[in-house]
Amino acid sequence: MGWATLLLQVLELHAYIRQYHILQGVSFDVREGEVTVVLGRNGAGKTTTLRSVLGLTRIGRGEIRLDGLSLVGWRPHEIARLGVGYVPEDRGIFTQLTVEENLQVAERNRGNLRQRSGRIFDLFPDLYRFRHRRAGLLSGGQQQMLAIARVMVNPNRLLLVDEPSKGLAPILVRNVGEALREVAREATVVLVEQNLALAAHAGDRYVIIDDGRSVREGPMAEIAMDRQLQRVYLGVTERNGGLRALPWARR
Amino acid sequence: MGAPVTIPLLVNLFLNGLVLGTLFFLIASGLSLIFGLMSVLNLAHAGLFTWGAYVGLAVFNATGSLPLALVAGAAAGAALGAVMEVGFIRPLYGNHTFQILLTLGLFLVLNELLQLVWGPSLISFGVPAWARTTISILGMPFATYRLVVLLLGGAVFAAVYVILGRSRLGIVVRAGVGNAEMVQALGVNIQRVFTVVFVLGGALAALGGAAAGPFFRVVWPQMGAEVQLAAFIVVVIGGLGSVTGSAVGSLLVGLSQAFVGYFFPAGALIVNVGLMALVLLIRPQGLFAPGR
Repeated sequence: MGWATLLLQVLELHAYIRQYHILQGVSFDVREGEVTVVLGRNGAGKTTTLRSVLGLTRIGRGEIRLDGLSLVGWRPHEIARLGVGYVPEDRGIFTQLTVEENLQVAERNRGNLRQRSGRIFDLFPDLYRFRHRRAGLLSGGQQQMLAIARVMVNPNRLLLVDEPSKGLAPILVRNVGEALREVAREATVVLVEQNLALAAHAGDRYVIIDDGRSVREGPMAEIAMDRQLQRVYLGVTERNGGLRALPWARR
Repeated sequence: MGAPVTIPLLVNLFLNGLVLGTLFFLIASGLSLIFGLMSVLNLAHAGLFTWGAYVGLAVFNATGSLPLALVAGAAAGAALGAVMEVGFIRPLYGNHTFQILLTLGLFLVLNELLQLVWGPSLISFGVPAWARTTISILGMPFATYRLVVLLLGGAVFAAVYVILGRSRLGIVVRAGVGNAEMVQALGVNIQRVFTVVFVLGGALAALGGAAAGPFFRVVWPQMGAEVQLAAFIVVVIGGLGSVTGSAVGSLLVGLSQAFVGYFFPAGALIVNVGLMALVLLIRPQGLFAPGR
């Protein structure tokens, strides 16, 4: 661990939604250039963790540092402007806007979109085809692509991606995986993902959050070898096929 | 009432309905954008309409220039809108109960302040000679000033439509109406956008008031409150956050008020509220989707 640059540090994070104490001590490190997967059961606090990093959820105590800079007290748009991109669980698409306008909203500095649209549309040709169509009329998979494309409009240091495979057909999940690999080439990624196959495909390291606390972290390959960890924290059993979904478990 | 129904009469009622609709549009469009973007039901909006009328009157009396009066009225509304958002409403985003209480209080304060300056009575709003002339439309005389209000409303609608549809600010506002949190997450200072929309909404409402003074030929402290009910009906009919919806809703309500008010004076409000109830039953989100 020692020599790798830490881009993001989350230290003893406590966060609240209204009166509910959702995060009760989440700590993990994210190394620059890697994909860190946040795992855990439904309601464990994964989404709240991502939202806290971006300043969208109120932090009670704890520390979040981006490249050594404390983000506590910063407003979401200020954090985003430090080079933090966000793909939310519900995709956050502006359904009344066209595909092109969705990308324009994301443009932080004039010229970014023009400079990067070639690469975006090469990766997502459907978005080019439907660039004048209202985003609300796109399919679920296309909306997910748009959500990912939107964070590619600007150069980002850190991407927070929340369950990109949710509600998508298996073939589309593979496409999402490819897209994530592409965006991970130029940014560090924190990925919340319930789909273990996709997580394994994309991730370098993992952190498990359970009941609002981080309970384990380590290299991604570790999960395939630890059936108890899968069963206890992720609800994966032989019967539900979770293990078979892990590519290295088949080897 | 009592006069025979003739084509010229119907044309005149139609044009009057359009003028009323224009005034409703000027107050309702800001109300709709403010509610659509910030979820703030701004009960003080009518106060800005009234202030626009009185500031317009004061400037007109001082300079004799109607265009200057309209500009000054709009500027007063913009300034009051900025003070309202930055000074009072900003700490209360998300707290609807307090917002309603606060904006109701602000409305009362605005009205009291206005009466301290100008008194509680009606004040006549003289109009320049050119605005008192009439032109003949299908044989019926029609006040030139009313056509000016129509043109003004059309120009404002076109400007707002283009700003919302083509400019980056407009795209961000429309995105914010759909999902303000996501706009922030993309690096946009939504707080600043909120202020701009409040300023724009305040300017439009006050411009409506400044334009309404010469239309009614008088100003009075309750004139905003009387228009506000129609504006709320317009916003519900048109759809929260939709300027096109506000325009269409305003014309519907204005025309209904002109025609029903002429033939069945007691029924004008009933018909408009009935229209609103019908829209709520059939299409609760309003006739137009939010966003433009």
